[in-house]
Amino acid sequence: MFGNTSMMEQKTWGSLVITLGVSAYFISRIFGAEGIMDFSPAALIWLYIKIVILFIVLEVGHVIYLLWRNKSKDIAEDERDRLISGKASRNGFWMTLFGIEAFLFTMILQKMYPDARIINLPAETATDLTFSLFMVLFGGLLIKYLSTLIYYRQAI
Amino acid sequence: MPPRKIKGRVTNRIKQLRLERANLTQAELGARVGATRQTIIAIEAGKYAPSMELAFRITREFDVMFEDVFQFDPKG
Repeated sequence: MFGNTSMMEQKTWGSLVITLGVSAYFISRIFGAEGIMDFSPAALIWLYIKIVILFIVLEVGHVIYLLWRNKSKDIAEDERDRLISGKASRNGFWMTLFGIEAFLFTMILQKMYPDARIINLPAETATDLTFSLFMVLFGGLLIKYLSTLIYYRQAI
Repeated sequence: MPPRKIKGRVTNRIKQLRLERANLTQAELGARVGATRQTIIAIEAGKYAPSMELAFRITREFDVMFEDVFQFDPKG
């Protein structure tokens, strides 16, 4: 499946899988049987550090594997890869910005109209806030990777 | 008044020149000009218009004039 793809496209597929895996791990840790659990700030910090370390280790391992696998090829990245990466990063940035803005406005609206439960965003505890912001960050990364893969298939 | 949409597309004869003049594979041409094989495939298929720098590098590989490799189709 990946034999006919460039190294950067292979890297994007790997990063997409890693992001989905790490976000699944994060969600499984945050959610209990009754919904979002209430972690202490210290436990949250440790979970955050674990997630970041997990991300770094998986990404570094994945890149080392790809470099080893593609060592016979001369060119790892060229101008088209950089163009696609730039466009996809822009999409991820806008998604993250939109998510943060939507999160802030929803929080404000919930405080302004506490009885009108249009959107019930979890924003009461530190765990709620961490969960919501992490989801925004994961969403930004997913949009970046998905748009990268779409651009590789399109005329660009 | 909305801005006028400018038509036109860049076409090329890279595949023909690569096979007939240089006898190179896509990977070999890519390695010589600093591009991946996938980028050469995209250029040959008309899906990607290379930068001026890459276009000149490709042209030099074939030792021909720029217009012999790349053409502009104003109706495309």
